[in-house]
Amino acid sequence: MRDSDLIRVNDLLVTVLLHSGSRWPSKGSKPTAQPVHISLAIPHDISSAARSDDLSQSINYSTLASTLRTCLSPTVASHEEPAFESLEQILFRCFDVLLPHETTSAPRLPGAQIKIVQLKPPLHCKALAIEGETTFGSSASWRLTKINHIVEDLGCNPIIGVNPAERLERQLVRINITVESLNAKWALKHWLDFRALTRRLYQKVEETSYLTLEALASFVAVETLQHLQSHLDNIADYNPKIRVKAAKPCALVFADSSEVEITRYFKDYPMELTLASEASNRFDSSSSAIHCAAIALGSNVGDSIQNIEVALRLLENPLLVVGDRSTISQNSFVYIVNTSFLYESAPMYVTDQPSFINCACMIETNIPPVNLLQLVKKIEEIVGRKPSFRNGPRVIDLDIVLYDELNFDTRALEEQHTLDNLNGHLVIPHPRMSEREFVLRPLYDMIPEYVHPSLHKSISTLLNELTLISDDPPMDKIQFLRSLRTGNIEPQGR
Amino acid sequence: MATLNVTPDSFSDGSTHNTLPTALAYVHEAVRVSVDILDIGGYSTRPGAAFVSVEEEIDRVVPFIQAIRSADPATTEDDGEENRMVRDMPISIDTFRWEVAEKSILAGANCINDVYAFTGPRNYPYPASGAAKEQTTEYMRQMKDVARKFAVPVILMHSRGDAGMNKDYSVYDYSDDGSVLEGVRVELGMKVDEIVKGRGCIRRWNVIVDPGIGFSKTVEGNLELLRQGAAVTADRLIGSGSNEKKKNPLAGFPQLVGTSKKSFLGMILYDKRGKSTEAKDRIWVTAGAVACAVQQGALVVRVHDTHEMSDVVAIADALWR
Repeated sequence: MRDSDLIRVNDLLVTVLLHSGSRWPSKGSKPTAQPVHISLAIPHDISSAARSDDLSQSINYSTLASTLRTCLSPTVASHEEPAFESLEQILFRCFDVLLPHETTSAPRLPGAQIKIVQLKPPLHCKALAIEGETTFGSSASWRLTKINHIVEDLGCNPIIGVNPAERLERQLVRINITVESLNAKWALKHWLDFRALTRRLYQKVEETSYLTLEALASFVAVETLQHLQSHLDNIADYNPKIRVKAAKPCALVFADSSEVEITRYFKDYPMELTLASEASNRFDSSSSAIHCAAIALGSNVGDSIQNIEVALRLLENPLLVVGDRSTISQNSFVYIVNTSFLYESAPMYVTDQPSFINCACMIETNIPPVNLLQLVKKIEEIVGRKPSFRNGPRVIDLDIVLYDELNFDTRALEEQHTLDNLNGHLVIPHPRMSEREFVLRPLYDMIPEYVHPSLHKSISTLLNELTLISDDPPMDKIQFLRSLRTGNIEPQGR
Repeated sequence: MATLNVTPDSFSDGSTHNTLPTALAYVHEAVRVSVDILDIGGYSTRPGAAFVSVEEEIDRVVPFIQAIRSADPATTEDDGEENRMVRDMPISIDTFRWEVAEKSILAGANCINDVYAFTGPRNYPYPASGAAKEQTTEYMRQMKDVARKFAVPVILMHSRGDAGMNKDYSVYDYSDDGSVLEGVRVELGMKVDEIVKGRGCIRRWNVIVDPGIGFSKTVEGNLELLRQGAAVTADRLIGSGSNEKKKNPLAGFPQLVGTSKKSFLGMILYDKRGKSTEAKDRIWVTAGAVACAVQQGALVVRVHDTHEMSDVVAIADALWR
């Protein structure tokens, strides 16, 4: 069987009323009038028309075009009808008009492909489009077999690239996204909020500072999938395919742009796309579940290596450290399951003090984050944290940096925009970890591939980016002979 | 690191330092040339060495440690200062037995140096089940317990059972920088992972790795490990096939390199110059190997001839570090 012949109308200009707004959202409840381009393709065997050269044997595209214009444009009488909620609605209206119910007398078409392009889309992108394909099934009405949602040329200005100059100035990246759904049933009930998606992507991409387009394209795919997941029920069951193209127009002198194109599904990001509700349930529901957390330790007063050793020993004895069984329940446990190397680093923020010894450890525990915070605060107290000013000298300092793949903040939502009110609160991942080599480097020793749950970058990437922009010399590793000279720790009964 | 073998049969210095006075004289010499740490062993790893019971090994090493720790600083002024330095000299105990390690630490040792990397003598091929597996697991558990209890650094060496055998590394031929290098990374890496990861792990900062030059390696294999020593602990991927690759488990660890007087140096000398040597004649060849280890970034070199090798290290260090 040969491919079917097609009769097309390309880029038919129609004015429609859209409640979802145009460049800007609609004012009040009034829909916004705006231009759209409609392209349609009708499969039709033209061989008889070709032989006879008789238009009546074919489909009259002029009629098709005027029918669509009439049905979609505001009527002269009201100026406010018909109005559409979304591009999806316009698409389905087109199918209704072209592929009417069997009872009507209009000529029967076998199916249609239609693309609606919003020419004045929400800010920052060149166009939005929706593309649908239908056939007549065995039933009396059309059946949607495929639907694509397209964001064309979303322009963002992140920091991107490996050249030193590229780390200093933002540059344009053009992003194209297609969400392809072969199982298109979801689209009949829901519509994709393009404005929310493009706004989210624009903001998030501008916050990034990747070295590669590869990482950026993958980030965009994850963000798109997360948007779909949070706005459309059970969308993952329909297994949409996300195609992302990210292009750098300023990269090559003799080319228009360099570009990376990727195709991804929900299953490609099992870590990043764990439902937030699942993550928080995991530690609320049962205290027998084992969680994994990263704790960073630092000391610059006294015998720092000894202080760290003592703190780690206390950490593994939570019942001895905290007597209150409502905070640390009887069955609580902490096991240290990995440690980093020890590093020496110059003090940050307040520089007039001895240098710090830093390290980190991974623990397995059944203690929930807030209670774990109370445990580590108590350890700081026991090992001898004398009251000191912020970022000042520390006998020992313990910070919970990561907890499973959790994003966690005990502050009220409206207080989360700043880092100046962290005192007494717990924020996971630790909000300053990406600017601290003394946290990232120890983590890199243990979990280089762990993906930061909100920055969506691996520890290895975060460390790379930090060392690339920093002029500071890398931290020194504390060598074997120094830890040796601190003397032995007396054995301690459990 | 200065080697003090208090055995009657160690291959290079067995007969000279195995009495208290000669051993103490050796330690005084070490102090004078600024040796950083003394390595005391009571059970030779020489192929075919006689079996020594746990009790006998303890009886050999503990008196030496006690003698060093009780060097009296309250003598005449000059001797007093040197005695103080002898008394404070860090000591590592060269043993694969937890009982010996514990007794030695209680007597004043500060570090464990284990040629079997906590897996005991029956570790090659690395057992997956059966009595040999139970034995390696027991060694692992007990050695980790001692190291954790006293928070002492540990030196973990690559070896494959009898030092004179098991020299085939062809399963690692896929590696782009040498099959012996890859063999050490994979085999020692697996043991180090067991030691620094999981419940009951010891602190990563307390681990130093030793590629085990002279242990189950051909002459060319030993040269490869020396020549490209830095690659043993490089931050790179190991394994073959995209699914098998993982970060080098030895990445970032400091290295101890021991080449002193080993037979492969003698074999090279015989090959190149037709010269037969006893262990005691291999001071100059050792100097060449030590210089290379320093150039490759070794943190510690383990030597017998402290006086000569201190000079070699000083120059190599000035050249390359």
